[in-house]
Amino acid sequence: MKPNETLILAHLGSAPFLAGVDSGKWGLDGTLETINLSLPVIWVRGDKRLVAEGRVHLRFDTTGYSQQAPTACPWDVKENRQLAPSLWPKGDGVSVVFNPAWNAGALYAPCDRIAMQGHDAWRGLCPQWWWQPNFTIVRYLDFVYANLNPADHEN
Amino acid sequence: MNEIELYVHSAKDAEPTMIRIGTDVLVEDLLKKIHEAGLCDGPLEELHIFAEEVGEPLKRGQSIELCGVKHRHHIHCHKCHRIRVGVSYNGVEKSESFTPSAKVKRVLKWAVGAFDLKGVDGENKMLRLANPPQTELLSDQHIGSFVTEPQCEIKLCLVSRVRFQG
Repeated sequence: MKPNETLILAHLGSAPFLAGVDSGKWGLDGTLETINLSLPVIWVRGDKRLVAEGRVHLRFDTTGYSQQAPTACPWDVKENRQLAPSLWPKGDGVSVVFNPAWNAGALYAPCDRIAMQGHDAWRGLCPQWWWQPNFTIVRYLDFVYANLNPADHEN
Repeated sequence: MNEIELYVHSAKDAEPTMIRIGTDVLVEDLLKKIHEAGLCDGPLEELHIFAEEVGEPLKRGQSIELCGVKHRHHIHCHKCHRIRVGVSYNGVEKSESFTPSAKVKRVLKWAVGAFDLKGVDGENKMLRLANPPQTELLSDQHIGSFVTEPQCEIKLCLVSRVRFQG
């Protein structure tokens, strides 16, 4: 098993990840025994005003994890390919993060390996989200969940 | 003996840690286990265990089963019995007290209501620490996780969510 796969396996079994699973915030598409640890697919629950299906699947690329940030894009699990841009989450604010016109293979997020390139200003603007090697994939999921659930406190 | 897993929150970390413990143990034993594992700082006799969103601490002499603590429940270990939360918004501060095991989303809901923000005005709001590092608090975190002794209070700001632009 590669170092990135060993780490992601540990983090997918950690208390913060499992707490999110137990509360229905996110979950693995598959099981720890069957998934591709270099390209795991994880769904995240979202406000139905922003995500018609109520959840979006993300396929992560964990190359270099966790020294490097993961990157992820919305994924069509039935067709096993990137989600069609027309089906990406849409709405005030969330369309900045989910922006296929910018890049159909990544999220515009300060914890995304691809989006971080050329956005050093984010390091000072949002140090909590700017990826650090001691972060886990839960940080990325927390970011996505917060953006997909702007009225979470009302529930 | 049946064993269950519990998510333990405390002021040591904003993220929970998991422990395994028998269902027939006393709250006192649970507290000792948490303390010995280094998950909660302070003199043992001054610490409390709270069920999530419950105001009164669990009684030390009762079994956790009798207290209603079940598999994968969230509990909070803290020295403070209540947390005084002050929230600033547009130069005005309002305050309220919460159990250390209150979720941030409950504090946020209170703050949005206290400042009379309705509809979309109340959305995309978040709470962050008033002082550096001005960390954004996440909905399922416990308010007690951000409060270290000797204070049993915290100052927060109610702000709009940061938008990431090029």
